[in-house]
Amino acid sequence: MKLFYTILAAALLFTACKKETIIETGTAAPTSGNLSVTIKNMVGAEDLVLSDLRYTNAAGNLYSINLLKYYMSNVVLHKKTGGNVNVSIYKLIDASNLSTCTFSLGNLDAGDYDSLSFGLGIDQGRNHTGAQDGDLDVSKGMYWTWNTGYIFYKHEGQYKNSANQMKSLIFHLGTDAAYSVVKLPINLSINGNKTMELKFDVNSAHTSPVNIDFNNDNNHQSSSSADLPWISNIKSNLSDAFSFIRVL
Amino acid sequence: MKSTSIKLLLSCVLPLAFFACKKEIASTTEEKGLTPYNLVIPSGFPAMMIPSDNPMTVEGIALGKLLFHDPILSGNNTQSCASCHMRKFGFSDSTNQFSTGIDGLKGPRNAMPLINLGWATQFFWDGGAANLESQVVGPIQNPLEMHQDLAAALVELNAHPSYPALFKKVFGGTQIGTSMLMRAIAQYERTLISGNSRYDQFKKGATTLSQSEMRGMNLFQNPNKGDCAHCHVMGGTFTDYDYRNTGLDSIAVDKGRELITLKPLDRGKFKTSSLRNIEVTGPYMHDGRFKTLEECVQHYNVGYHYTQNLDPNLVNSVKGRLNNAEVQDIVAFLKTLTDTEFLSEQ
Repeated sequence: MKLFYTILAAALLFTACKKETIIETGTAAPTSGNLSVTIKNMVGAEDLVLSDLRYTNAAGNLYSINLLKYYMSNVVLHKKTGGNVNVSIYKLIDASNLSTCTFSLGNLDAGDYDSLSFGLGIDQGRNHTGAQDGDLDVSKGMYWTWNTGYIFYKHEGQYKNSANQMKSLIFHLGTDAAYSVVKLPINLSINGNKTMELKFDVNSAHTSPVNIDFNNDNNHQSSSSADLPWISNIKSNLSDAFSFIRVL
Repeated sequence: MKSTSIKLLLSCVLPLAFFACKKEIASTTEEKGLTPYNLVIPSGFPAMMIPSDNPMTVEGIALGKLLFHDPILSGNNTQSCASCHMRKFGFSDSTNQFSTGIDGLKGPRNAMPLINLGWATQFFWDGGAANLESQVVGPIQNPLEMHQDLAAALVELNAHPSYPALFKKVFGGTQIGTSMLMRAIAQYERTLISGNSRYDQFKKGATTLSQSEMRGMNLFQNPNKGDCAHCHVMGGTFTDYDYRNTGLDSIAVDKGRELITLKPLDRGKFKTSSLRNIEVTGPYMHDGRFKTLEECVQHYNVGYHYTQNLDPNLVNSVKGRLNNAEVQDIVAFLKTLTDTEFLSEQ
Protein backbone atom coordinates (compact mmCIF):
# COMPACT_ATOMS: atom_id res chain seq x y z
CA MET A 1 0.00 0.00 0.00
CA LYS A 2 2.83 2.31 0.95
CA LEU A 3 4.51 1.57 -2.34
CA PHE A 4 1.30 2.34 -4.20
CA TYR A 5 1.06 5.79 -2.67
CA THR A 6 4.71 6.48 -3.35
CA ILE A 7 4.31 5.58 -7.02
CA LEU A 8 1.09 7.55 -7.29
CA ALA A 9 2.66 10.60 -5.73
CA ALA A 10 5.72 10.32 -7.95
CA ALA A 11 3.54 9.88 -11.04
CA LEU A 12 1.49 12.92 -10.13
CA LEU A 13 4.53 15.03 -9.54
CA PHE A 14 6.33 14.08 -12.72
CA THR A 15 3.45 14.02 -15.21
CA ALA A 16 3.25 17.77 -15.30
CA CYS A 17 6.95 18.10 -15.96
CA LYS A 18 7.30 15.38 -18.59
CA LYS A 19 7.71 17.84 -21.46
CA GLU A 20 10.74 19.39 -19.82
CA THR A 21 12.62 16.09 -19.69
CA ILE A 22 15.80 16.25 -21.72
CA ILE A 23 16.83 13.04 -23.41
CA GLU A 24 20.59 12.83 -23.50
CA THR A 25 22.06 10.84 -26.35
CA GLY A 26 25.43 10.63 -27.97
CA THR A 27 24.58 12.83 -30.95
CA ALA A 28 22.48 15.97 -30.58
CA ALA A 29 18.87 15.01 -31.29
CA PRO A 30 16.71 17.49 -33.24
CA THR A 31 15.11 19.90 -30.83
CA SER A 32 11.75 21.57 -30.88
CA GLY A 33 11.68 25.27 -31.56
CA ASN A 34 9.63 28.36 -31.98
CA LEU A 35 8.29 29.00 -35.46
CA SER A 36 7.67 32.53 -36.56
CA VAL A 37 6.08 33.41 -39.86
CA THR A 38 6.92 36.45 -41.94
CA ILE A 39 4.51 37.53 -44.66
CA LYS A 40 6.09 39.32 -47.61
CA ASN A 41 3.46 41.42 -49.32
CA MET A 42 4.58 41.67 -52.93
CA VAL A 43 3.37 42.54 -56.39
CA GLY A 44 4.85 40.05 -58.80
CA ALA A 45 8.55 39.84 -57.98
CA GLU A 46 8.93 43.12 -56.10
CA ASP A 47 8.12 44.15 -52.54
CA LEU A 48 4.87 46.06 -52.26
CA VAL A 49 5.17 49.84 -52.49
CA LEU A 50 2.09 51.56 -51.11
CA SER A 51 0.33 54.52 -52.73
CA ASP A 52 2.20 54.37 -56.02
CA LEU A 53 0.42 53.96 -59.36
CA ARG A 54 2.92 51.44 -60.67
CA TYR A 55 1.20 48.09 -61.02
CA THR A 56 -0.52 46.50 -63.97
CA ASN A 57 -2.84 43.52 -63.67
CA ALA A 58 -3.42 40.89 -66.34
CA ALA A 59 -6.41 42.86 -67.63
CA GLY A 60 -3.97 45.70 -68.36
CA ASN A 61 -5.28 48.07 -65.66
CA LEU A 62 -2.70 50.40 -64.16
CA TYR A 63 -3.39 50.55 -60.41
CA SER A 64 -2.13 51.39 -56.93
CA ILE A 65 -2.52 49.93 -53.46
CA ASN A 66 -2.97 52.60 -50.80
CA LEU A 67 -4.20 50.25 -48.10
CA LEU A 68 -3.86 46.49 -47.76
CA LYS A 69 -5.06 44.61 -44.70
CA TYR A 70 -6.25 41.04 -44.21
CA TYR A 71 -6.80 38.38 -41.58
CA MET A 72 -4.94 35.07 -41.40
CA SER A 73 -6.43 32.59 -38.94
CA ASN A 74 -6.58 29.00 -37.74
CA VAL A 75 -3.16 27.81 -38.88
CA VAL A 76 -2.62 24.08 -39.35
CA LEU A 77 0.84 22.59 -39.95
CA HIS A 78 0.93 19.10 -41.42
CA LYS A 79 3.73 16.78 -40.36
CA LYS A 80 5.47 14.78 -43.04
CA THR A 81 5.08 11.65 -40.95
CA GLY A 82 1.40 12.33 -40.41
CA GLY A 83 -0.50 14.37 -37.87
CA ASN A 84 -1.32 18.04 -37.60
CA VAL A 85 -0.46 20.91 -35.33
CA ASN A 86 -3.36 23.34 -34.94
CA VAL A 87 -2.66 26.91 -33.90
CA SER A 88 -5.69 29.00 -33.00
CA ILE A 89 -4.69 32.45 -34.14
CA TYR A 90 -6.43 35.54 -35.54
CA LYS A 91 -3.78 37.72 -37.09
CA LEU A 92 -4.36 40.99 -38.85
CA ILE A 93 -1.73 41.72 -41.49
CA ASP A 94 -1.38 45.41 -42.30
CA ALA A 95 0.97 46.10 -45.20
CA SER A 96 1.69 49.58 -43.88
CA ASN A 97 3.09 48.19 -40.63
CA LEU A 98 5.84 45.58 -40.99
CA SER A 99 5.62 44.56 -37.34
CA THR A 100 2.18 43.09 -38.08
CA CYS A 101 3.66 40.93 -40.85
CA THR A 102 5.67 38.69 -38.51
CA PHE A 103 4.00 36.54 -35.91
CA SER A 104 4.78 33.47 -33.83
CA LEU A 105 3.06 30.11 -34.15
CA GLY A 106 4.55 28.98 -30.84
CA ASN A 107 6.73 25.99 -30.07
CA LEU A 108 6.67 23.10 -32.53
CA ASP A 109 7.96 19.55 -32.17
CA ALA A 110 11.16 18.78 -34.00
CA GLY A 111 10.62 17.23 -37.42
CA ASP A 112 9.61 17.89 -40.98
CA TYR A 113 6.45 19.68 -42.02
CA ASP A 114 5.33 19.53 -45.62
CA SER A 115 2.21 21.62 -45.82
CA LEU A 116 0.49 24.52 -44.18
CA SER A 117 -3.11 25.67 -44.23
CA PHE A 118 -4.75 28.76 -42.81
CA GLY A 119 -8.03 30.62 -42.98
CA LEU A 120 -8.13 33.78 -45.01
CA GLY A 121 -10.61 35.74 -42.93
CA ILE A 122 -12.57 34.81 -39.82
CA ASP A 123 -14.38 31.50 -39.43
CA GLN A 124 -18.14 31.46 -38.89
CA GLY A 125 -17.70 30.67 -35.19
CA ARG A 126 -15.89 33.93 -34.54
CA ASN A 127 -17.37 36.11 -37.28
CA HIS A 128 -20.65 36.95 -35.60
CA THR A 129 -19.77 39.02 -32.61
CA GLY A 130 -17.73 42.16 -32.29
CA ALA A 131 -17.02 41.81 -28.57
CA GLN A 132 -13.54 40.34 -29.10
CA ASP A 133 -10.03 41.37 -28.25
CA GLY A 134 -6.54 41.51 -29.75
CA ASP A 135 -6.50 41.73 -33.55
CA LEU A 136 -10.28 41.13 -33.47
CA ASP A 137 -10.89 44.36 -31.53
CA VAL A 138 -13.36 46.16 -33.77
CA SER A 139 -11.46 49.43 -33.51
CA LYS A 140 -8.95 47.94 -35.99
CA GLY A 141 -11.20 49.10 -38.82
CA MET A 142 -11.88 45.60 -40.11
CA TYR A 143 -15.45 45.20 -38.86
CA TRP A 144 -18.82 46.19 -40.26
CA THR A 145 -20.76 47.83 -37.45
CA TRP A 146 -24.04 47.83 -39.43
CA ASN A 147 -23.79 44.15 -40.32
CA THR A 148 -21.89 42.21 -37.67
CA GLY A 149 -18.89 40.57 -39.23
CA TYR A 150 -15.27 41.13 -40.07
CA ILE A 151 -13.79 42.46 -43.26
CA PHE A 152 -11.51 39.59 -44.23
CA TYR A 153 -9.54 41.42 -46.88
CA LYS A 154 -9.31 45.10 -47.66
CA HIS A 155 -7.58 46.66 -50.65
CA GLU A 156 -8.12 50.34 -51.35
CA GLY A 157 -6.33 52.25 -54.05
CA GLN A 158 -6.77 53.80 -57.47
CA TYR A 159 -6.75 52.71 -61.09
CA LYS A 160 -6.83 54.26 -64.53
CA ASN A 161 -10.02 53.37 -66.37
CA SER A 162 -10.45 52.70 -70.07
CA ALA A 163 -11.01 56.44 -70.62
CA ASN A 164 -7.66 57.10 -68.92
CA GLN A 165 -9.28 58.67 -65.84
CA MET A 166 -8.14 58.03 -62.27
CA LYS A 167 -10.82 56.21 -60.30
CA SER A 168 -10.90 54.68 -56.84
CA LEU A 169 -10.62 51.00 -56.11
CA ILE A 170 -12.46 49.69 -53.08
CA PHE A 171 -12.40 46.00 -52.29
CA HIS A 172 -13.82 44.92 -48.93
CA LEU A 173 -14.24 41.17 -48.77
CA GLY A 174 -16.30 39.50 -46.07
CA THR A 175 -19.37 37.42 -45.09
CA ASP A 176 -19.20 33.72 -44.21
CA ALA A 177 -19.35 32.75 -47.87
CA ALA A 178 -16.06 34.56 -48.46
CA TYR A 179 -14.05 32.58 -45.89
CA SER A 180 -11.49 30.33 -47.53
CA VAL A 181 -8.84 27.92 -46.38
CA VAL A 182 -5.51 28.43 -48.13
CA LYS A 183 -3.27 25.34 -48.47
CA LEU A 184 0.39 25.61 -49.32
CA PRO A 185 3.19 23.08 -49.77
CA ILE A 186 6.08 24.02 -47.49
CA ASN A 187 9.53 22.65 -46.79
CA LEU A 188 10.07 23.15 -43.08
CA SER A 189 12.33 21.26 -40.72
CA ILE A 190 12.03 22.25 -37.09
CA ASN A 191 15.32 21.85 -35.26
CA GLY A 192 15.52 24.86 -33.01
CA ASN A 193 13.89 28.23 -33.69
CA LYS A 194 12.94 28.97 -37.30
CA THR A 195 11.39 31.73 -39.36
CA MET A 196 9.28 30.81 -42.36
CA GLU A 197 8.74 33.35 -45.11
CA LEU A 198 5.52 33.31 -47.13
CA LYS A 199 4.68 35.48 -50.09
CA PHE A 200 1.37 37.18 -50.79
CA ASP A 201 1.15 38.45 -54.35
CA VAL A 202 -1.48 41.19 -54.62
CA ASN A 203 -1.42 41.07 -58.40
CA SER A 204 -2.23 37.39 -58.35
CA ALA A 205 -5.28 38.19 -56.22
CA HIS A 206 -6.70 40.05 -59.20
CA THR A 207 -5.38 37.79 -61.89
CA SER A 208 -5.33 34.08 -61.27
CA PRO A 209 -7.32 31.97 -61.87
CA VAL A 210 -9.97 34.65 -62.56
CA ASN A 211 -8.90 37.70 -64.50
CA ILE A 212 -10.54 40.72 -62.83
CA ASP A 213 -10.89 43.87 -64.96
CA PHE A 214 -11.13 46.97 -62.79
CA ASN A 215 -13.25 48.69 -65.43
CA ASN A 216 -15.99 46.25 -64.44
CA ASP A 217 -15.07 45.47 -60.85
CA ASN A 218 -13.75 48.41 -58.88
CA ASN A 219 -16.04 48.88 -55.88
CA HIS A 220 -17.14 45.78 -53.99
CA GLN A 221 -18.00 45.94 -50.31
CA SER A 222 -19.74 42.56 -49.92
CA SER A 223 -22.98 44.40 -49.18
CA SER A 224 -25.31 43.55 -52.05
CA SER A 225 -26.26 40.54 -54.10
CA ALA A 226 -24.41 42.21 -57.00
CA ASP A 227 -21.17 41.56 -55.07
CA LEU A 228 -21.65 37.79 -54.97
CA PRO A 229 -19.89 36.89 -58.27
CA TRP A 230 -16.90 39.07 -57.29
CA ILE A 231 -16.77 37.43 -53.83
CA SER A 232 -16.57 34.04 -55.46
CA ASN A 233 -13.89 35.18 -57.94
CA ILE A 234 -11.56 36.93 -55.54
CA LYS A 235 -11.95 34.14 -53.03
CA SER A 236 -10.48 31.64 -55.46
CA ASN A 237 -7.82 34.12 -56.54
CA LEU A 238 -6.74 34.77 -52.95
CA SER A 239 -6.34 31.06 -52.30
CA ASP A 240 -3.87 31.04 -55.17
CA ALA A 241 -1.99 34.21 -54.21
CA PHE A 242 0.08 32.83 -51.32
CA SER A 243 3.27 30.80 -51.67
CA PHE A 244 6.14 29.44 -49.63
CA ILE A 245 9.45 31.28 -50.02
CA ARG A 246 11.96 29.78 -47.60
CA VAL A 247 12.86 28.94 -44.02
CA LEU A 248 15.56 30.85 -42.15
CA MET B 1 4.72 7.48 9.81
CA LYS B 2 5.97 7.78 6.29
CA SER B 3 2.81 6.30 4.91
CA THR B 4 0.72 8.67 6.95
CA SER B 5 2.61 11.68 5.71
CA ILE B 6 2.17 10.62 2.10
CA LYS B 7 -1.52 10.13 2.70
CA LEU B 8 -1.63 13.54 4.30
CA LEU B 9 0.24 15.03 1.38
CA LEU B 10 -2.13 13.45 -1.09
CA SER B 11 -5.21 14.51 0.81
CA CYS B 12 -3.93 18.08 0.71
CA VAL B 13 -2.50 18.18 -2.78
CA LEU B 14 -5.27 16.38 -4.66
CA PRO B 15 -8.10 18.71 -3.60
CA LEU B 16 -5.82 21.63 -4.42
CA ALA B 17 -5.31 20.32 -7.92
CA PHE B 18 -9.05 20.09 -8.49
CA PHE B 19 -9.65 23.46 -6.90
CA ALA B 20 -7.20 25.04 -9.32
CA CYS B 21 -9.07 23.57 -12.30
CA LYS B 22 -12.46 24.60 -11.01
CA LYS B 23 -11.32 28.14 -10.38
CA GLU B 24 -10.12 28.48 -13.95
CA ILE B 25 -13.46 27.38 -15.39
CA ALA B 26 -15.64 29.53 -13.20
CA SER B 27 -13.83 32.79 -12.73
CA THR B 28 -16.92 34.15 -11.11
CA THR B 29 -18.28 37.58 -10.61
CA GLU B 30 -17.84 37.38 -6.83
CA GLU B 31 -14.18 36.39 -7.13
CA LYS B 32 -13.53 39.59 -9.04
CA GLY B 33 -15.14 41.56 -6.21
CA LEU B 34 -18.20 42.39 -8.30
CA THR B 35 -21.83 42.22 -7.26
CA PRO B 36 -24.03 39.94 -9.39
CA TYR B 37 -27.09 41.78 -10.68
CA ASN B 38 -30.43 40.33 -9.70
CA LEU B 39 -32.46 40.50 -12.88
CA VAL B 40 -36.20 40.75 -12.20
CA ILE B 41 -38.19 39.16 -15.04
CA PRO B 42 -41.82 40.32 -15.30
CA SER B 43 -44.50 37.63 -15.34
CA GLY B 44 -45.42 36.45 -18.82
CA PHE B 45 -41.84 36.86 -20.07
CA PRO B 46 -39.47 33.96 -20.75
CA ALA B 47 -36.06 33.75 -19.08
CA MET B 48 -33.50 36.17 -20.50
CA MET B 49 -30.47 34.63 -22.17
CA ILE B 50 -27.37 36.36 -20.86
CA PRO B 51 -24.19 35.71 -22.86
CA SER B 52 -21.73 33.67 -20.81
CA ASP B 53 -18.92 36.11 -21.61
CA ASN B 54 -20.86 39.08 -20.26
CA PRO B 55 -22.46 38.28 -16.90
CA MET B 56 -24.46 41.18 -15.50
CA THR B 57 -23.02 42.95 -12.48
CA VAL B 58 -24.12 46.01 -10.57
CA GLU B 59 -20.77 47.64 -11.36
CA GLY B 60 -20.89 46.73 -15.07
CA ILE B 61 -24.40 48.10 -15.43
CA ALA B 62 -23.47 51.34 -13.64
CA LEU B 63 -20.52 51.76 -16.00
CA GLY B 64 -22.73 51.05 -19.01
CA LYS B 65 -25.28 53.59 -17.84
CA LEU B 66 -22.56 56.20 -17.43
CA LEU B 67 -21.24 55.52 -20.94
CA PHE B 68 -24.73 55.51 -22.44
CA HIS B 69 -25.25 59.06 -21.18
CA ASP B 70 -21.73 60.37 -21.87
CA PRO B 71 -21.09 62.48 -25.03
CA ILE B 72 -17.43 61.38 -24.85
CA LEU B 73 -18.41 58.58 -27.22
CA SER B 74 -19.25 60.95 -30.09
CA GLY B 75 -16.79 62.48 -32.53
CA ASN B 76 -16.98 66.01 -31.12
CA ASN B 77 -18.23 65.05 -27.64
CA THR B 78 -21.64 66.63 -28.14
CA GLN B 79 -23.96 63.62 -28.31
CA SER B 80 -24.43 60.52 -26.22
CA CYS B 81 -26.55 57.44 -26.92
CA ALA B 82 -29.19 59.07 -24.71
CA SER B 83 -29.39 62.11 -27.02
CA CYS B 84 -31.54 60.08 -29.43
CA HIS B 85 -32.71 57.38 -27.02
CA MET B 86 -34.62 59.20 -24.27
CA ARG B 87 -36.28 57.24 -21.51
CA LYS B 88 -39.54 59.21 -21.47
CA PHE B 89 -40.02 58.27 -25.14
CA GLY B 90 -39.28 54.59 -24.49
CA PHE B 91 -35.65 55.35 -25.34
CA SER B 92 -36.59 56.60 -28.82
CA ASP B 93 -35.94 60.06 -30.23
CA SER B 94 -38.98 62.12 -29.17
CA THR B 95 -41.14 62.97 -32.17
CA ASN B 96 -38.29 63.13 -34.67
CA GLN B 97 -38.82 61.09 -37.82
CA PHE B 98 -35.07 60.95 -38.34
CA SER B 99 -32.43 61.80 -35.78
CA THR B 100 -29.78 64.42 -36.42
CA GLY B 101 -26.17 63.33 -35.89
CA ILE B 102 -23.22 65.40 -34.70
CA ASP B 103 -22.51 66.70 -38.21
CA GLY B 104 -26.08 67.93 -38.66
CA LEU B 105 -26.89 65.00 -40.94
CA LYS B 106 -29.99 62.86 -40.68
CA GLY B 107 -30.10 59.08 -40.99
CA PRO B 108 -32.54 57.17 -43.19
CA ARG B 109 -34.34 55.29 -40.39
CA ASN B 110 -36.27 56.13 -37.23
CA ALA B 111 -34.36 55.74 -33.94
CA MET B 112 -35.49 52.46 -32.40
CA PRO B 113 -36.94 52.29 -28.90
CA LEU B 114 -34.69 50.38 -26.47
CA ILE B 115 -37.10 48.19 -24.54
CA ASN B 116 -36.74 44.55 -23.48
CA LEU B 117 -33.65 44.14 -25.65
CA GLY B 118 -32.44 41.18 -23.60
CA TRP B 119 -34.99 38.98 -25.37
CA ALA B 120 -34.00 40.00 -28.87
CA THR B 121 -31.35 38.12 -30.78
CA GLN B 122 -30.62 40.58 -33.58
CA PHE B 123 -30.58 44.36 -33.61
CA PHE B 124 -31.26 47.34 -35.89
CA TRP B 125 -34.33 47.53 -38.15
CA ASP B 126 -32.73 45.02 -40.51
CA GLY B 127 -31.20 42.77 -37.84
CA GLY B 128 -27.69 43.63 -39.00
CA ALA B 129 -26.18 43.43 -35.52
CA ALA B 130 -25.85 39.81 -34.44
CA ASN B 131 -25.98 40.52 -30.71
CA LEU B 132 -26.47 43.43 -28.34
CA GLU B 133 -22.75 43.84 -27.67
CA SER B 134 -22.03 44.10 -31.41
CA GLN B 135 -24.82 46.64 -31.89
CA VAL B 136 -23.30 49.12 -29.47
CA VAL B 137 -20.58 50.44 -31.76
CA GLY B 138 -22.86 50.88 -34.79
CA PRO B 139 -24.31 54.30 -33.89
CA ILE B 140 -21.02 55.43 -32.33
CA GLN B 141 -19.18 54.90 -35.60
CA ASN B 142 -21.94 55.84 -38.06
CA PRO B 143 -21.02 59.13 -39.84
CA LEU B 144 -24.72 60.10 -39.74
CA GLU B 145 -24.94 59.56 -36.00
CA MET B 146 -22.22 59.94 -33.35
CA HIS B 147 -19.46 59.76 -35.99
CA GLN B 148 -16.61 58.69 -33.76
CA ASP B 149 -13.60 56.64 -34.78
CA LEU B 150 -13.46 53.72 -32.34
CA ALA B 151 -9.70 53.88 -31.94
CA ALA B 152 -10.04 57.60 -31.07
CA ALA B 153 -12.81 56.80 -28.58
CA LEU B 154 -10.51 54.31 -26.86
CA VAL B 155 -7.72 56.89 -26.65
CA GLU B 156 -10.12 59.34 -24.98
CA LEU B 157 -11.47 56.75 -22.57
CA ASN B 158 -8.00 55.52 -21.63
CA ALA B 159 -6.89 59.10 -20.91
CA HIS B 160 -10.00 59.91 -18.87
CA PRO B 161 -9.57 60.63 -15.13
CA SER B 162 -12.11 58.03 -13.96
CA TYR B 163 -13.00 55.55 -16.73
CA PRO B 164 -9.79 53.45 -16.67
CA ALA B 165 -10.35 52.48 -13.01
CA LEU B 166 -14.04 51.75 -13.57
CA PHE B 167 -13.31 49.52 -16.58
CA LYS B 168 -10.50 47.76 -14.77
CA LYS B 169 -12.76 47.00 -11.82
CA VAL B 170 -15.41 45.44 -14.09
CA PHE B 171 -13.35 43.81 -16.83
CA GLY B 172 -9.75 43.64 -15.57
CA GLY B 173 -6.89 44.28 -17.98
CA THR B 174 -4.69 47.30 -18.22
CA GLN B 175 -6.19 49.07 -21.22
CA ILE B 176 -9.80 49.76 -22.14
CA GLY B 177 -10.65 47.74 -25.26
CA THR B 178 -13.67 48.09 -27.52
CA SER B 179 -15.08 44.77 -26.32
CA MET B 180 -15.31 46.18 -22.79
CA LEU B 181 -17.19 49.24 -24.01
CA MET B 182 -19.59 46.98 -25.89
CA ARG B 183 -20.14 44.70 -22.91
CA ALA B 184 -20.74 47.51 -20.42
CA ILE B 185 -23.36 49.28 -22.52
CA ALA B 186 -25.04 45.97 -23.40
CA GLN B 187 -25.28 45.13 -19.69
CA TYR B 188 -27.05 48.41 -19.02
CA GLU B 189 -29.37 47.98 -21.98
CA ARG B 190 -30.44 44.53 -20.75
CA THR B 191 -31.83 46.21 -17.63
CA LEU B 192 -34.27 48.31 -19.68
CA ILE B 193 -37.17 45.99 -18.97
CA SER B 194 -40.77 47.10 -19.33
CA GLY B 195 -43.46 44.71 -18.15
CA ASN B 196 -45.68 46.63 -15.77
CA SER B 197 -48.19 48.37 -18.01
CA ARG B 198 -51.93 48.56 -17.34
CA TYR B 199 -52.28 45.50 -19.58
CA ASP B 200 -49.88 43.58 -17.30
CA GLN B 201 -51.76 44.73 -14.20
CA PHE B 202 -55.01 43.65 -15.87
CA LYS B 203 -53.50 40.20 -16.52
CA LYS B 204 -52.65 39.94 -12.84
CA GLY B 205 -56.19 40.96 -11.91
CA ALA B 206 -54.96 44.19 -10.34
CA THR B 207 -56.92 46.52 -12.59
CA THR B 208 -59.69 46.53 -15.17
CA LEU B 209 -59.70 47.73 -18.77
CA SER B 210 -62.37 49.92 -20.32
CA GLN B 211 -64.99 48.50 -22.70
CA SER B 212 -63.15 50.00 -25.67
CA GLU B 213 -59.79 48.60 -24.51
CA MET B 214 -61.34 45.16 -24.02
CA ARG B 215 -62.89 45.25 -27.51
CA GLY B 216 -59.51 46.39 -28.84
CA MET B 217 -57.73 43.48 -27.17
CA ASN B 218 -60.11 41.02 -28.82
CA LEU B 219 -59.83 42.70 -32.23
CA PHE B 220 -56.02 42.71 -31.84
CA GLN B 221 -56.06 38.91 -31.57
CA ASN B 222 -58.90 38.12 -33.97
CA PRO B 223 -57.31 36.69 -37.17
CA ASN B 224 -60.21 38.01 -39.28
CA LYS B 225 -60.04 41.51 -37.81
CA GLY B 226 -56.90 43.18 -36.47
CA ASP B 227 -54.81 40.03 -36.83
CA CYS B 228 -52.04 41.96 -35.03
CA ALA B 229 -51.01 39.14 -32.68
CA HIS B 230 -49.81 37.05 -35.61
CA CYS B 231 -46.52 38.99 -35.47
CA HIS B 232 -46.91 41.14 -32.35
CA VAL B 233 -47.26 38.02 -30.22
CA MET B 234 -49.68 38.56 -27.33
CA GLY B 235 -47.98 39.07 -23.95
CA GLY B 236 -44.26 39.25 -23.19
CA THR B 237 -42.45 41.49 -25.64
CA PHE B 238 -45.32 41.75 -28.16
CA THR B 239 -43.06 40.86 -31.08
CA ASP B 240 -41.88 37.71 -32.81
CA TYR B 241 -38.57 39.45 -33.75
CA ASP B 242 -39.03 38.30 -37.35
CA TYR B 243 -38.63 40.41 -40.51
CA ARG B 244 -41.52 41.24 -42.79
CA ASN B 245 -42.42 43.33 -45.78
CA THR B 246 -45.65 45.00 -44.73
CA GLY B 247 -46.35 46.64 -48.07
CA LEU B 248 -45.37 50.16 -47.09
CA ASP B 249 -44.29 50.86 -50.68
CA SER B 250 -44.96 49.24 -54.05
CA ILE B 251 -41.24 49.36 -54.68
CA ALA B 252 -39.12 49.25 -51.52
CA VAL B 253 -37.08 52.44 -51.17
CA ASP B 254 -34.97 50.94 -48.38
CA LYS B 255 -33.88 47.37 -49.10
CA GLY B 256 -34.06 46.51 -45.40
CA ARG B 257 -33.16 42.96 -44.48
CA GLU B 258 -31.77 42.31 -47.98
CA LEU B 259 -28.81 44.55 -47.12
CA ILE B 260 -27.83 41.95 -44.51
CA THR B 261 -28.71 38.62 -46.10
CA LEU B 262 -28.02 39.72 -49.72
CA LYS B 263 -31.18 37.78 -50.65
CA PRO B 264 -33.70 39.54 -52.93
CA LEU B 265 -36.49 37.70 -51.08
CA ASP B 266 -35.68 39.84 -48.05
CA ARG B 267 -36.16 43.12 -49.90
CA GLY B 268 -38.18 45.66 -47.94
CA LYS B 269 -38.37 43.48 -44.85
CA PHE B 270 -37.94 45.05 -41.42
CA LYS B 271 -38.08 43.78 -37.89
CA THR B 272 -41.46 43.45 -36.17
CA SER B 273 -41.49 46.23 -33.54
CA SER B 274 -42.31 45.54 -29.94
CA LEU B 275 -45.55 47.28 -29.01
CA ARG B 276 -44.49 47.98 -25.44
CA ASN B 277 -44.86 51.74 -24.74
CA ILE B 278 -45.87 52.23 -28.37
CA GLU B 279 -47.94 55.27 -27.32
CA VAL B 280 -44.76 57.29 -26.71
CA THR B 281 -42.35 55.88 -29.32
CA GLY B 282 -43.80 57.48 -32.44
CA PRO B 283 -43.41 58.33 -35.23
CA TYR B 284 -43.81 54.77 -36.47
CA MET B 285 -42.36 52.28 -38.97
CA HIS B 286 -38.68 51.98 -39.92
CA ASP B 287 -38.82 55.35 -41.62
CA GLY B 288 -41.10 57.07 -39.13
CA ARG B 289 -43.69 57.78 -41.83
CA PHE B 290 -46.73 57.51 -39.57
CA LYS B 291 -47.27 60.06 -36.82
CA THR B 292 -50.17 58.35 -35.09
CA LEU B 293 -51.20 54.86 -34.06
CA GLU B 294 -54.44 55.31 -36.02
CA GLU B 295 -52.38 55.70 -39.20
CA CYS B 296 -50.50 52.49 -38.35
CA VAL B 297 -53.63 50.44 -37.77
CA GLN B 298 -55.23 51.89 -40.91
CA HIS B 299 -52.13 50.90 -42.88
CA TYR B 300 -52.71 47.25 -41.95
CA ASN B 301 -56.44 47.70 -42.51
CA VAL B 302 -56.45 49.35 -45.94
CA GLY B 303 -53.11 51.00 -46.72
CA TYR B 304 -50.71 48.20 -47.62
CA HIS B 305 -49.47 47.71 -51.18
CA TYR B 306 -49.49 44.36 -52.93
CA THR B 307 -45.74 44.41 -53.42
CA GLN B 308 -43.35 41.59 -54.12
CA ASN B 309 -42.43 39.89 -50.81
CA LEU B 310 -45.60 41.18 -49.10
CA ASP B 311 -46.07 39.19 -45.91
CA PRO B 312 -48.39 36.21 -46.53
CA ASN B 313 -50.61 37.26 -43.61
CA LEU B 314 -51.37 40.51 -45.42
CA VAL B 315 -51.69 38.83 -48.82
CA ASN B 316 -54.48 36.73 -47.32
CA SER B 317 -56.15 39.60 -45.44
CA VAL B 318 -59.25 41.44 -46.59
CA LYS B 319 -58.80 45.18 -47.02
CA GLY B 320 -61.19 47.32 -45.02
CA ARG B 321 -61.97 44.60 -42.50
CA LEU B 322 -61.96 47.12 -39.63
CA ASN B 323 -64.41 50.00 -39.29
CA ASN B 324 -63.32 53.30 -37.75
CA ALA B 325 -64.67 52.45 -34.30
CA GLU B 326 -62.70 49.18 -34.36
CA VAL B 327 -59.53 51.02 -35.33
CA GLN B 328 -60.08 53.31 -32.33
CA ASP B 329 -60.61 50.31 -30.05
CA ILE B 330 -57.33 48.71 -31.16
CA VAL B 331 -55.51 52.00 -30.55
CA ALA B 332 -57.09 52.19 -27.08
CA PHE B 333 -55.77 48.68 -26.36
CA LEU B 334 -52.28 49.59 -27.65
CA LYS B 335 -52.18 52.44 -25.14
CA THR B 336 -52.68 49.97 -22.27
CA LEU B 337 -49.13 48.81 -23.04
CA THR B 338 -47.70 52.07 -21.71
CA ASP B 339 -45.59 51.41 -18.62
CA THR B 340 -45.44 54.73 -16.76
CA GLU B 341 -43.15 53.30 -14.09
CA PHE B 342 -40.58 52.29 -16.73
CA LEU B 343 -40.81 55.62 -18.55
CA SER B 344 -40.26 57.68 -15.41
CA GLU B 345 -37.45 55.72 -13.73
CA GLN B 346 -34.23 57.55 -13.03
